[in-house]
Amino acid sequence: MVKKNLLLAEDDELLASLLDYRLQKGGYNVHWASDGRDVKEYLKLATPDIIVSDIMMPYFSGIELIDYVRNELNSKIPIIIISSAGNEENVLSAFELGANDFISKPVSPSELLVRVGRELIKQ
Amino acid sequence: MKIISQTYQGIKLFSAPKIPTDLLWDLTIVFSGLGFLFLLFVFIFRNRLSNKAIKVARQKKILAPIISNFLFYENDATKDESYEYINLKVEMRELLKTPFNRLVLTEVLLDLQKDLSGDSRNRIFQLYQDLELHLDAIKKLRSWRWELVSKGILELTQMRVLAAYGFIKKFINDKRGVVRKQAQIATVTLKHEGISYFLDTTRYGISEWQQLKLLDVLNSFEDFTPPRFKAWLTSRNRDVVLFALRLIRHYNQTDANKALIELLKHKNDQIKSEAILCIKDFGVFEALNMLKSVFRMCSVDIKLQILDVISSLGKEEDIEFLESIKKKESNFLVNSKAISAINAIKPDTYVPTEGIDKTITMKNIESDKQVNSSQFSEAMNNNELPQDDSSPVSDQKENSLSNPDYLDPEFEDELIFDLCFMEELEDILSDYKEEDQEVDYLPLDFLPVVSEQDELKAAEAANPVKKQGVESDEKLEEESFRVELEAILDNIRSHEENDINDYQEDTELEFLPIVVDIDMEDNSGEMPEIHEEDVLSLEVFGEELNVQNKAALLYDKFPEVDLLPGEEMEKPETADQKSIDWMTFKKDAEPIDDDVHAENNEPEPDDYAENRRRDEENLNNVPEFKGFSIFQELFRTCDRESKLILLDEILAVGDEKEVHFLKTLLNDADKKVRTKAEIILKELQALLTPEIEVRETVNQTIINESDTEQPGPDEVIQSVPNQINKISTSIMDKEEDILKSLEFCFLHDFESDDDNHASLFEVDFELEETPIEEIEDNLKTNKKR
Repeated sequence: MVKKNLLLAEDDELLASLLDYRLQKGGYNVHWASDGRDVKEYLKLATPDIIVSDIMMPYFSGIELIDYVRNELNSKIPIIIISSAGNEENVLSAFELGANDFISKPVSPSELLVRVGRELIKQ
Repeated sequence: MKIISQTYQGIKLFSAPKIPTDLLWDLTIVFSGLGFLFLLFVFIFRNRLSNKAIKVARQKKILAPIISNFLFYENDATKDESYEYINLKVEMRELLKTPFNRLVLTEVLLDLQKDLSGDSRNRIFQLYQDLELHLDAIKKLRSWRWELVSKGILELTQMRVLAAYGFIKKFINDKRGVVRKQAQIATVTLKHEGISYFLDTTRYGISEWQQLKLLDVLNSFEDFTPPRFKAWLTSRNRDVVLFALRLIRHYNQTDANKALIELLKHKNDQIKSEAILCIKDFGVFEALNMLKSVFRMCSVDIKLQILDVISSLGKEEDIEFLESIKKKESNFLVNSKAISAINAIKPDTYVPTEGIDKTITMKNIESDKQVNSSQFSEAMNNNELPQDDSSPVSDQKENSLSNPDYLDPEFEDELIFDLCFMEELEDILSDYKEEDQEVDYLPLDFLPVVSEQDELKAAEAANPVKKQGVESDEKLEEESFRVELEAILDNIRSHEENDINDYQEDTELEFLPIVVDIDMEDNSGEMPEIHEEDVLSLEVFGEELNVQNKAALLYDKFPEVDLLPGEEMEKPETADQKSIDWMTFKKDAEPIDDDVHAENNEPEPDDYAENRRRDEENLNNVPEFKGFSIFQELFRTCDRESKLILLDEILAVGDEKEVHFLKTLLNDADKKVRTKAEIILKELQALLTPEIEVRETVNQTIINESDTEQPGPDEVIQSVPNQINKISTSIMDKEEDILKSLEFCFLHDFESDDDNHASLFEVDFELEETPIEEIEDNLKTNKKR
């Protein structure tokens, strides 16, 4: 069975490594990008099946990432955003720009895994 | 020279002291060395910190996968996974031997527990204790440095180390504020019973922020059963009592009523205030007496709170207390609150008195109502009559008034006329009432002549199907009109003490338009048979004089139907003709009916004869009607300047009706208006003298002719209108512009079926200030003309 490619955009290394480990264990081929520039570079080279991105990232925020994917790449890749609690405005903006799902910090890795699976099934 | 030399000697004091250059060099070298050392220390410590950070980051990268493996290891793992897990465990034990790795691992776990939730978080807590990292934190508690102790308490709290509860609770009364506060939060967080222990043992004050933090911790508990906080209302610690009161209010613990009432006597305002809030929220009615008792001794803020509670919980027996406060209390806020509390208990006890115009009374409102009712009648006349009679009249009024859109511009002039008419009618009736005159007859020569017979016939011929609908609309209008008039007449009847016989009551409605319309056709089964021509001719009164014949027939057949009096059956000709001494015409036309009866050989019923006799008597007793001036209505609503301008217009377009109106203005309150009215009256009378003379001559001629020739009734019928026609035409030819009154113009426009209804009320003048002298000059010029 071919593993689905997942782009994880998260600037917190510890959390990223933990989620990376959990998602890989969940059967995904995870590519981790620590900031917006990495994300952009990766997207120029490859097209993931799904993107999991933090909203607050250096150089290139999660909102800008959604805008880039939807408007510049004209891609319908499912995007799940991770946001800290009390950041509803950004979440609303993300949904307006075309985010598919949203999960708030503190994150439950198991919940994220379920949400990723559901979005891929939708596709 | 001597003085100068002395002066220069004095300046020596300000000259630079001699400093050895060697010392300066030494100082420069020392300070440069210190600066270099400082920079060196900064560089070294910065490097150490950054190196440590790099080392920690590197170590975290090493530890992160190990932690992930530990966190997500499951019992159903594969052999490889289990093997890897065991290897990592061994590796971890080796790593933990060094304090740096323990420190890094602790940091990693503390960071992760913030970002993770659910099962992963619980596993982190478990891992922390499994690796015995909590022992390091407990060791920190023994440190003499407050920051380390505080850090240790925080770490143990975040990682939920319940075993450390016993160690931490000792710090609740620590003299170091930061440690104490950290310990308080830790105690409450680690165990549910921590709050009780904290409230029992704390001796220090609890800041507002700390109370909020503690409340936040309590709220974060999922399965927390709060203790009965009333137990701490007896605490010696004032802040504990205050915090307990807030918790009681937060958790709605209503079992502390007695304590709450007792706390109203507390010396501390904060506690008192909190107790009052609890009393208000829980509706403790038994606290009212205590509230009243302590009221005098309280501060303004507490007094306001007490009054607020009384307003929400108080009853009528508390109003006396509030009244006493209102009288005695000098503070405006308290006084106002007392009034508002009284109004809350018993609404509308006090109404606003400041800034109220006391001259406005209910009478004004009544007059407004009258205007509204007349507007309502207009709406009714304008097909706005509600179909459902059961609906309340007030509702109808509201509907009609709240929807001004019903005023179709097409009918605007008619509506204005109706408005004037209704008001004028009421004035006339009220005048009659004042004079105690018996209202046997209502002079209505100012009524519009409704002549639509031709139109009706044409419409009937064109579209017979629609006839019934049109008639029903007209009937509605007439009925609403009748209802309005009957209401007024009923008032008059009830006002008069003398009994009026049935016939008199009937004659009171004689001025009404004939309501025998085409609907009669529908009722032909019940009513005697009537020819359609007869009915149509009666619909439009006064179209032809020979209609009287048919009307008399109908009168005989339908005695219950209110026919118009004989004089109103006259041919309207023109509005001007109608205005010319209708009384004279009436007398001449009166006997015609009798002759008609005689000619037709119809037996004259006894009642009918009696009625006719009374009718004649009534007609002889009819009071002189001075006429309706359109200016009267305009004068009601305008200011002085407008009145003066209108007086000029009266002179230009006025006639006999305006003379009467001007006479009433001689008693006007405004001197200017009074003076000008007097002048205009004289001028107008002078202008109208030729007309009156002509009219009198004509009347005399007619009377003479009738006396001498004594023509038959038919001849009279034919000749009189012709004579009137001639006279009126001659008058109009001569002085048409001067004599034509506004209402005549109005009626004339209607009669001539002029489409330009918009110009009905066009009073073509501009508002400008004109001195009286100039007006008098103008009047003289007009007179000469």
